[in-house]
Amino acid sequence: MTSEPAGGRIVPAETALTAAYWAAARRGVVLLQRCADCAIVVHPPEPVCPGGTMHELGWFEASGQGRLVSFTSVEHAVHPAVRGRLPYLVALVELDEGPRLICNLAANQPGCDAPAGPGPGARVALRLGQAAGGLDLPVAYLAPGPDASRHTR
Amino acid sequence: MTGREPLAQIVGVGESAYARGTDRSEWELAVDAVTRALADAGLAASAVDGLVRYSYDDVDEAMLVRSLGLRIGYYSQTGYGGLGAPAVLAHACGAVAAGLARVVVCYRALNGWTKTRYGRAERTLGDGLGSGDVVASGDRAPSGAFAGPYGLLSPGQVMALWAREYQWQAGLTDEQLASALGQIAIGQRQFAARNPLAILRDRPLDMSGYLAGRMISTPLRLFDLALESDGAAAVVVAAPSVAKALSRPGVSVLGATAGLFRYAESISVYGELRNGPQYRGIARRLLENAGLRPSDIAVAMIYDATTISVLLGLEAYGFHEPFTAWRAVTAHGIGAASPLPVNTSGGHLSEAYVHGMNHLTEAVRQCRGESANQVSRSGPVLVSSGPSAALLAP
Repeated sequence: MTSEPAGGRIVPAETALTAAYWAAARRGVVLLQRCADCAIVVHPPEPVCPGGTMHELGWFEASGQGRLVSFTSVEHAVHPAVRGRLPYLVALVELDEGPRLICNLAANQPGCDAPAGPGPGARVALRLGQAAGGLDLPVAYLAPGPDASRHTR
Repeated sequence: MTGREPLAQIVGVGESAYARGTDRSEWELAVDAVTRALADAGLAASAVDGLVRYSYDDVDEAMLVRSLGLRIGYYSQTGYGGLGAPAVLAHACGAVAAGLARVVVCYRALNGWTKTRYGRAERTLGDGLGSGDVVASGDRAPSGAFAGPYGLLSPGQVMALWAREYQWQAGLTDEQLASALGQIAIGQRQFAARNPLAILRDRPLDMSGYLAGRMISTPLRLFDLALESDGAAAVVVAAPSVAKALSRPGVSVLGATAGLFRYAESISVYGELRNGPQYRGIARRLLENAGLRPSDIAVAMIYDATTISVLLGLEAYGFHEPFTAWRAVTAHGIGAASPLPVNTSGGHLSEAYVHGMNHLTEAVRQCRGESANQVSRSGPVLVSSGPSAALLAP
């Protein structure tokens, strides 16, 4: 056993609905649901297409590309499991396929250490990295470029 | 002003003492608040034939029925935590208007300091003190399976994401956002100073004090967040025939809505920001159905788990266009002399955190002319929490 911060890691409960999502996520891949009938794209997963209850939702691999809708730097631990991980960045990403997704913004990358942090609508790419809860999951990296910290919509 | 009959009357309000730390259980606090509300109404417990509570409340109907010797014919619950205060009123009014009950008590009791800390994640994740992993379940935005593994664990952190999204969409600097949010924290603290119930009544706050509050989750600082506290509050809703027989006039409920649409549950991040078109649509319908415009409202009690919720609520309920309330709040504040006084009890930031029920008791007192911060203008009072809201009038 490796030593972890007090309280160990924060792991997702997996259900019949979400097992495929987490199997992919542990490889750094984001799976989304798309409806074969109305093309609506859904995240977090749902058992029934919101566009029509007789429609068929199926998984596909997201591009992992998106833009930053918001982020916060968490400076105060609200649970023992993250006490040793402060500060960490939580990102709200709008994926190019449409849905919003919560992840971490990888720290120690250009653009994140600027006083104001990344700028509105910064382009991000999701790939495997360490999440604040201790698991390796898809996390957001700012797209490379001289203006990464102030990329505008 | 309005051509419609009120849905029902609020004839009594009451609360326990509010504190950070108590030796009284939620059960005792609830009994205290309900007893005071009934005394305020001039009604005996035997008159109560309905109860409405928050599904989150650990004091269930049977406990109150036993403690107060009630015999009721109607009870119901509302979900989604802080969306509950307007929603319990909607349930109570519905029951009264349909003739299912004549006197309905709504209550919320919370050992939010000594037991269930809403600013922390133990209530959803467990204490995490063992050596094993902690499991995040469901898809709730803070601390669910799609958020917990990334350390998004508390409502305040979700609202920090709302605040940054607001800041970016409005094109604000960090300083501009802080000036607007600070005005809300300071304005509510000033109201608290004159409210004997308020936990922070003796703790003045100015802008330098606000800015000196430590960062909790950027861009939100300590004083942007609601208190955690122990306390209970209750209101008594009655049919017009009951209200008419009481010594004091009731406060009319002109409208109430327990709203919900995709991703509008209490603290989500997956849908539109809470000043978006769907929220504004709910607000417009509520006001139109009551024959009112936003400019008719004399006081707004806007759910304030954090300061950003107040800015969003001001825009959702039509007092300002989206992404402009920050400017008015920065310029004029939310105090007694501002165009629209907001959260005149001190609210969740400075009075106590009773999950919106203390907003409802203050709204009733404003309508009666009995608030510790009574506004000079007489008119309807809005009580809102995201997609749920109610309109009260003298």
